[in-house]
Amino acid sequence: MTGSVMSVSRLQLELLRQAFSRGSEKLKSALQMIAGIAPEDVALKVIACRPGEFHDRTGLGSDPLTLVESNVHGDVEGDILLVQRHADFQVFGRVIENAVLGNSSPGSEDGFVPDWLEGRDRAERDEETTCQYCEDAFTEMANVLFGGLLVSLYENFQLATFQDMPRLTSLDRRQVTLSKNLSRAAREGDVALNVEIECFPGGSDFKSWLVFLPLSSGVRTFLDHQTARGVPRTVKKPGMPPG
Amino acid sequence: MARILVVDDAQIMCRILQTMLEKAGHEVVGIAYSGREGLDMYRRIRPDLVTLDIQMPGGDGLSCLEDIRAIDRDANVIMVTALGRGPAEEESREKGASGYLVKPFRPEQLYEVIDHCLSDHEQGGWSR
Repeated sequence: MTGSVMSVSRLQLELLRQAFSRGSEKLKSALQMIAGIAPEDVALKVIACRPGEFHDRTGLGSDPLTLVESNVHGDVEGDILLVQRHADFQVFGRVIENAVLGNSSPGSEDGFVPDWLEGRDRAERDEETTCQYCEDAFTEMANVLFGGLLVSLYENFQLATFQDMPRLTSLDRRQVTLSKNLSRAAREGDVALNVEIECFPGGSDFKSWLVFLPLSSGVRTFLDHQTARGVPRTVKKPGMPPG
Repeated sequence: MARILVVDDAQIMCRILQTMLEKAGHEVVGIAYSGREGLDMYRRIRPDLVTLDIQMPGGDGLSCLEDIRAIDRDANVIMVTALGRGPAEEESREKGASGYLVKPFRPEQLYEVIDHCLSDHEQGGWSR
């Protein structure tokens, strides 16, 4: 992407954070459909920061990750990712098993078993196959979460965007894929919009981060659009760092 | 009740759709994980309705829609996608889709689009 990197003030970050928040509620519907997680078992927190601040602001640390990435095109361009600690992905996998494969309540009306597992005892089920199913579920969840967010950009701001096919990295031991995306964002966009998604269904607890890294042109488009709509640019929330 | 073919590269989405459709009394007569497989199944099964994902590896759903319509101009196809509204929806309509559903969706939204498609199809209706 060409164009200089714009310097985004704290105030503009807050404006972006508030705008991004308007779309985040749609994520609960996606989680309910894909993973069977009830909306009341999901807590969302929206964070807008610079790419270099991502780890400090999210507390992600240096743990191995599972993530899905895609590119966004249209009125706002950039990269979008769904990130989980790999350890949390194991928890997510169990939630998927319970909710979708029906392991917690065999034969339940709501559960179902893939063709290749039908007729087999749970103990016999191939762990790797189940894992593959969970990777598929995670990728599709990302696809739907990305889509939900982009739909909200359209519905709330009339910004038309579309995404490429999502790509899964099942194990990012050294966070190479995340670092590559954050570095690009630091060079070409300077904004990281994150929704921290904490899920606690049935005593489980795991976190995911939906990360949107718009390029400079996209940030400009977004802020110009907001200004044109008459959104006040002097909004200041208590505790917000000085701009 | 309709005989429905589900086409989506995500196994979990196929299963979610199958579960929702069967709960509503429909019969899922086939599940395909790619556009090509979906087209082959359509030729053999001739379902009443197809739910078709747009973004799939090895040939997108819009091409598959065109191929299905080429062999059956009365085919009843609902595009089911995470792409949202906008150009994809417009292109789907232009290529002859009967309906358009954005993921995530609730079961009742799926049923509503299907009901509209099945009742309006002969009049060239469009459901979303």
